[in-house]
Amino acid sequence: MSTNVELDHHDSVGVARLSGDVDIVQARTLRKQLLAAVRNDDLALVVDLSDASYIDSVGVSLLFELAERLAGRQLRFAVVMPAGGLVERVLTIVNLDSVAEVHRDLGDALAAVRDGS
Amino acid sequence: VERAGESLDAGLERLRMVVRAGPDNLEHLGDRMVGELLPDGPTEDDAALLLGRALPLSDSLLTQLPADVDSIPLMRRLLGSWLYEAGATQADVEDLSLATSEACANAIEHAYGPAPGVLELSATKEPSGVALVAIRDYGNWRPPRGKNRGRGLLLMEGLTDSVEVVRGDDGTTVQLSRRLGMEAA
Repeated sequence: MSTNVELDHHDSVGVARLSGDVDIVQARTLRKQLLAAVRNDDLALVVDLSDASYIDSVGVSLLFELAERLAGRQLRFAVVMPAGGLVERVLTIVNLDSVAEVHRDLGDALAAVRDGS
Repeated sequence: VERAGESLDAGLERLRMVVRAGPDNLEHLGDRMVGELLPDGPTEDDAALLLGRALPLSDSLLTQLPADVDSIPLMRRLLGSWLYEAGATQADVEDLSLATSEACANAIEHAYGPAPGVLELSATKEPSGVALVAIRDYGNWRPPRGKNRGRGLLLMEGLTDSVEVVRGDDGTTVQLSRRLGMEAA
């Protein structure tokens, strides 16, 4: 299955909604799209994985790379993680919450990155 | 099966009868079908016969694929079907398939140079309910490089009960095991 990326902006927060497989096959294309999703005057990026069904170590590394780049530019980074599936198990094993704010839904994630909380 | 002056259904029914009665050996069945369905020898029309046998996935799975990134989703689907047949839960299937993909990705990246290579996937289920999945390559394993590969191994370990890497003179085998049908990994 391929990955679908929908890019959106909520005020000064970029939102990238990924669905399908976030994996080694899709990584290269996905990386370009995600890096391009960040605008210079953005405050934060939210990657929404609510509809992602699969993520492998290459997909995980892409999230860590994004975290590093965003931190270097003083941008906040949040990830919306679906509950109770493979994606949650994977992101827990790799401790994604050490580099990103992890939320259960997009509304929470947007509120959190705006709040500065 | 189609003959002038006769309905197609009659021809199809004749085909069904021959196949049902025919020998189990596909080659012999083919001979017999040609003999019974074309009793007068070659016709003016071309006749083509294609026989296939649908097999249930067996107790063990063994397959070889090119050591290429594009093989990974195929491996996942194949292993997933086999695991479901073997009584795996959805979490078993997802976790073992991902762990297997990581092992394949390692082999593709580290076992072979730019030249094409082969990946071998095998899976068996022990009477105790433990699934054993082995991913084998025939290359020279370079030590994993970079953070990403560390994460691959981390995922393999986190998603299975055990991970064993056996390096031999003619390649490397990654052996994964997981007890099927448990609620949590």
